[in-house]
Amino acid sequence: MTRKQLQILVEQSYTGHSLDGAKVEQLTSKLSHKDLRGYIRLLKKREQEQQVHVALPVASVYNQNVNKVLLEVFPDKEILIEEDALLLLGAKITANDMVYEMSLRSRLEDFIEKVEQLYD
Amino acid sequence: MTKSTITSDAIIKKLEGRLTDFGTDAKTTNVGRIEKLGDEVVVASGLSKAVMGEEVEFQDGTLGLILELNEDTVSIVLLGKSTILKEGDSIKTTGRILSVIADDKLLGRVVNPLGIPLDGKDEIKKGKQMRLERVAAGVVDRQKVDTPLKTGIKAVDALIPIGRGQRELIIGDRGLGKTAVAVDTIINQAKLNKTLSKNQKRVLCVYVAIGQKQSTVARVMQTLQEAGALEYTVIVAANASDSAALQYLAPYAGVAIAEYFMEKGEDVLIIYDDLTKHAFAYRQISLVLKRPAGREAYPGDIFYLHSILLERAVRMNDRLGGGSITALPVIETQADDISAYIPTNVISITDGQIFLKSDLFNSGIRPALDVGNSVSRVGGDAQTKAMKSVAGKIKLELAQYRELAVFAQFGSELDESTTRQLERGKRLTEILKQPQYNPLPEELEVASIWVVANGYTDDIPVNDLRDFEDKYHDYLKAHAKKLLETLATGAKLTDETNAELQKQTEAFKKGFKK
Repeated sequence: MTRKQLQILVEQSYTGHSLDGAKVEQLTSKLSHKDLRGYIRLLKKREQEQQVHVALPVASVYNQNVNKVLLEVFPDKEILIEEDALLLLGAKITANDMVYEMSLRSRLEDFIEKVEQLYD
Repeated sequence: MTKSTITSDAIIKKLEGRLTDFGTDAKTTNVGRIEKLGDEVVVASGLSKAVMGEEVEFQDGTLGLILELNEDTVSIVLLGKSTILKEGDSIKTTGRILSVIADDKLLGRVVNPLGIPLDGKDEIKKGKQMRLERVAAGVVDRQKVDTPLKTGIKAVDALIPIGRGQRELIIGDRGLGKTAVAVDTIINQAKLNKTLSKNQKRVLCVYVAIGQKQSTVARVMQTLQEAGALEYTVIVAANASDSAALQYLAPYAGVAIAEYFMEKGEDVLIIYDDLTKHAFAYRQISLVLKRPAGREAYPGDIFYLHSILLERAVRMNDRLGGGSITALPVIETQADDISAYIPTNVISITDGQIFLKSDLFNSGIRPALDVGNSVSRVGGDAQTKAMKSVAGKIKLELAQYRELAVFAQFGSELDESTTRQLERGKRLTEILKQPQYNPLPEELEVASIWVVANGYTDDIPVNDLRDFEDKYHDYLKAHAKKLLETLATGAKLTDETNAELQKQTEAFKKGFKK
C-alpha cells in the first residue's frame, strides 16, 4: 500500500477525535507486516498531533481559566498536564514538533548565553 | 577590542530587571526525533519548520546540518563526532543557517570549517557571522581583472600570468608539486606585503586543506610560519579523519572567511587543496542520502558543487570596495588524464589551468609546468608591461623549441639556425626551473628571463645556468639597485633600461666564473 493509502486508513480509524478500537481491528486485519508497520507509525504521528503537553512548575496552578485559554489556542486537542519544578515560573507547551518556552528557566538560560557572548 | 568585564552586582541588577519585566512572549523551537542513524547521516521526524541548510542541535550538543527535506522526514549530516546518539533522541532547530565567525584575529590561525580552532589557541567567539552558502556577486558588481597576482614563480608569472580575481586551476598527478606552487604563491604574497609601495594593496591568504593528512597540514603551517607568511594566512582544515560533511563544507567556509576580508576592500588569495577530495566527500554524502548516482557514481549536481564555489572568486568594482578573491583550486589527476570527469568540469569553470606533468617532473623540470597545455585566459592583462615585454618573446621561442625538440636526437645533422634554436630553448627551459620555497621578486624574474631571451647565456653551458642565475642576481642586488628599482615598477622596458641591463650583464659576465 502507498503512504497516502495508509494515511486514509489512519483517518478512517477515528470516530470523531477518538481512536476506535473496533475500526482499527477491522482495518488492520488484512494488512501485511510491512503495511502494518507503516500504519502504526502514521497512527503514532496522528496521536502525537492530537496531544498538547503542558509543563507547569506546580500542577495545581492549572485551573478552568487556563484550560479554557489552552482549548481556544489548541482546539480539538487533548491537553496533558505535567509537573516540572525546574521551570521555576511560567510554562512550557509542546504541540507536536513545536515547543513554546515561556518559563523563567528558559529566560535565565538565554540570559547566560547572551552574557557569555558579549563579555569575556 | 577592549576586554569588557561585568561585576556580579551588575549581573544581579540585570536579572532583577528581567524578573520585573517578565513578559509572556514565548520562545518557539521546532523539535524532532531521530528515526534512523547511520554513516554520519540522521533521518529525523518532526522538524516541520526546518529550512534547507539550517543548523540543528542534538540533545548531546552535537551539531548537524539539514541537507534534505522530505515529506515527513528530514535528512541531517552530523558535523561532529557522537557515540551516544540513538534512535528516539531529540533534535532541535537553532534558527541559524550554517555560518562561520570571521574576524581579523583569524589571520595566523588554523580552524576547522565550523570555526573551531585546531592550533590549540583560544576560540574566536566574536566577529561577523559569514554564511557558508551565499550567492556570488553579480555581473554589474564586478570589474575587469587587470591587476597581477605575482606568484614569484618565473614560469607562471611569465607564461601563465594570474590576475587578482581570477580562478586558475592547478592540476596534475600526485607528488608533482601542486601544493608547492600554492605554498610558494602564499610565501611570495607575504614577502610583497612587507615591502608594499604607496599604491599597492596587500594580499591576504586562505589555505583550505580538504581531506589532507594532518601531518601534511602541519608541515604547510610550519613552512608558512618559517617564511613569515602565517601572519597573513588563515588555514581552514578538514582532515582525512574528519567527517565527509566537514570536508564538504571546508571550501565554503574558506571562501566565506575570504569574503569577510574582501568586503573590507582587501585582496585575498584562496587555495582549495584539493577539490578532488571535496568531490569524493560530496559523493559519499550523496550516496548515503540515496540521491541518484550518475557518471562515476557522482550525483547530478557535482558540477554545480564546484561552479557555485568558484564563482565566488571575484574582483569587486570600486563602488563596492574594490576587493578581490583570487582562487587557485587544485585537482589531482590519475596518469596525467585531464579528460576525466572532475578535471574537465573544473577546467571548464576556471579561467585557465597550470598543468603539471609527470614526465617533465621526472626529467628534472621543476616546477613541472606543461606550457603547451597550460593557459591563463586573463593573459597579458594580468602582467606588468615589464614582464610582458620579456615574456612575449620566450613564449614563441619555447613553442618553437617544443616542435623542434623531436629532432634533437639528430644533433649532428641539423643546420645552424635549428641548432641555435634548440640550444636557446634548452636554456629557456633551464632558466624557468626554480627551487621550492624560493619565490622571486618580479625585477629578478624579468632580469633572468631577459638575459636568456637576449642570448647572453648562449655561451654558458646549460648545467651552469642555475649557478649563473644565482650569481647574476647577487651581482644586480649589489651593483644595480637603481636598475632593479626601475624593473620593480613594472613599467615597459625602455631603451635606457635595456641598455642598462646590457651594460650590467656584460660587466657581470666578464667576472663570472663557474
